[in-house]
Amino acid sequence: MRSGWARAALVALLLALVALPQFGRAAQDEPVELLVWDQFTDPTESAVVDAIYAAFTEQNPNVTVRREAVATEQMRQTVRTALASGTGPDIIFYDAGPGYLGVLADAGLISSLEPLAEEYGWNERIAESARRGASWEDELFGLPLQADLIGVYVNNTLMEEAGLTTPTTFEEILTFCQDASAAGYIPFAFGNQEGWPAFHQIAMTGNNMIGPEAMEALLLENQGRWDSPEMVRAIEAFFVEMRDAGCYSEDANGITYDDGNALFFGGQSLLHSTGNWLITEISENMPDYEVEFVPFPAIEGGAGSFWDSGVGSAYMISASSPNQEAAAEFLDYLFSPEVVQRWVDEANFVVPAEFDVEAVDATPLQRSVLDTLAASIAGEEQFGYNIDVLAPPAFNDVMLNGFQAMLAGDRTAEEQAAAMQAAWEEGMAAGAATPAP
Amino acid sequence: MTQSWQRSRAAVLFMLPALALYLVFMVWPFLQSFWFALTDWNGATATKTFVGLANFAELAGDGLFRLALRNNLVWVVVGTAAPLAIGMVLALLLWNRPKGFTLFRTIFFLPHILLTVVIGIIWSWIYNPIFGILNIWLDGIGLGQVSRGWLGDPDVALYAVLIAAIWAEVGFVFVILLAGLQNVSRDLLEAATIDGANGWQRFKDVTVPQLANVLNVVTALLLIGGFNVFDIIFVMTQGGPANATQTMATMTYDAAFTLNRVGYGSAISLVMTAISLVASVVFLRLRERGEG
Repeated sequence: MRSGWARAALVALLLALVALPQFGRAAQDEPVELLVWDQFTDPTESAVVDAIYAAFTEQNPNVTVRREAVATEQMRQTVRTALASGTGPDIIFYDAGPGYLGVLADAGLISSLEPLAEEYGWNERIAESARRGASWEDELFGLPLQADLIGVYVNNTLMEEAGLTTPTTFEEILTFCQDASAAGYIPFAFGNQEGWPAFHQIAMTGNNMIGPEAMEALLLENQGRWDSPEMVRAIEAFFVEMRDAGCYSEDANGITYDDGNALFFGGQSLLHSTGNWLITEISENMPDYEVEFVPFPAIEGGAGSFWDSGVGSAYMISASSPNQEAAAEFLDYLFSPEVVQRWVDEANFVVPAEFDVEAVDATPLQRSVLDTLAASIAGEEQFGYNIDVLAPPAFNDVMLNGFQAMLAGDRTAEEQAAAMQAAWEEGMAAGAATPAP
Repeated sequence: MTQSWQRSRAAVLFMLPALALYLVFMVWPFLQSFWFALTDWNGATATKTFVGLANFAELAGDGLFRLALRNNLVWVVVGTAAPLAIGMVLALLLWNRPKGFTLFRTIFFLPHILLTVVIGIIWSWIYNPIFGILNIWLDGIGLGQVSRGWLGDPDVALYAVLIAAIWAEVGFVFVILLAGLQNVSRDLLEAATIDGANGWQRFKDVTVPQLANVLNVVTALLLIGGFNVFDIIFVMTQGGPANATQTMATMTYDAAFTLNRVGYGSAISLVMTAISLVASVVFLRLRERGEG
């Protein structure tokens, strides 16, 4: 009798074990609601995002995506508390730098995507440099949607009218600035009231002086110094020599980034050193001008002329989300080749992932950026590094306030370089940057 | 005894909801700030390492904090005195309800009902070095050499933001003082006139003493506001350029949300609260002594 019960119990156990995976699959079909926080507050981008999220639900009827668009500044204030509460969003689209993604990863608030990257083949589909930009201590935590390319926009139409040519060396820039000023233009549409536009200028001159390899070693391996003679020269080039040559408004600290854009859109400035995120607005606001995008010219004694690149925000999964599987499916969908094509086509994002570049209906300006990025992914073009997205917050704070002080004439290049080195060492000691201390 | 207890119990019951809200939203966060200030918490990790008074020690040697404190003091002095003086003049001008009283009262009070964000944006446009009306106007009257990027010059940015704040604050002071003036005895003023007091003497010795309570409240509010100022600076300069407009409140924000140093930010906010509290109490005590 007892052995009969034992046999029955064994059979029941076996049945249960066999049935368990089935129950798991059934759970996948149960209604799931994914709460997604993203930063797409621009109406055009927001409409594309809504359509893409809705298309996911169409393919996965059991998954509802509840989207909340949160402005970047508000998200920075609330995301840590929201994730720590355990009742926050399942997925966030948030800044990828060490001061943002790094802090969340370090606190265990977001899930490692390493196992998923292998399972879904993200390592093959998403560019390595982009994955590295959304990693923390060599572990993938985010999928970056946008690759930034930093260079100089040139208004060729006005240049030709003014009889000016695009400078190809730093020396030519200084001469060009004098000529452009004499012709009544503000040569560069540089506005730095927010402080962060200066990050891109030092990224360009810094990479051009020391070269991408040395910049990589400095940023990712903590080898090298920010106060080296080459970096001092890089700082001096943009923030002293170009200032003194009248390359940008003497009130650059009082001009916002948007006002700088307006100077370029309106034809008051001939050059604009910024990123590829401005392409859509340039296309919309400058239909009568022929605009070209080029890398910042080489500086004498430096390593050459390079494009600089970095990643913007990335999709991450909350570690406390009960819907890890659905969240992974959602991310995989967002980075599938057909959806990547939509991001590029409809939102004009430059997604660092596999897609058919030729199939994109792009303007010549967009095409040039896509081709440059494709060349980088194929290993044909070496990019420099956008510094701030890989630096600790305190270092960025020193860059922000220090470059403003330089523009106001209150700080020398040597002092700024020394302050950057000190902040970097402090960040390294605190483990607040990408490289291991 | 029973009746007294019943009355007390009713009072306690009526107070309970407000007390609960106060405890949850004021006292508890305040106590938490104390705890955070004694840790090196970055706002994300589950563990908060106790560091004792290290944050306060660091604050004592922080040059940026000294700059922020100095800016707060400038704000408190100028940002209190200027709205009081201007608001008083405007209130006195409208005290006798001249023609156009309602229109002027509306115009003077209007800035105060605007959102700080709106005020910040409007003044940022006024100060804009490219299209701002201030520089255009200065150029127009031959003072082009004075024009500049007002919010981008570290030497003048704080005062530029302060002027915008004063513009917004004057309306509030004006309305309160105008209401206070309605209770000033005209008989006493007439008596003072008959006694030979001139306009300044009547104002100083008859009008101001009768406005003492109103002035105390307005001044205390402006003082506290001066120590806690955040929003208009955040909208217009975010503490820049080169930290020139950094105050204790903007520094708290930067520490907690930009630099991920919630512990240090909490320490700054506690010091800010203490300074604000002490300044207000000292002011009220001095006023009371002056009245006594």
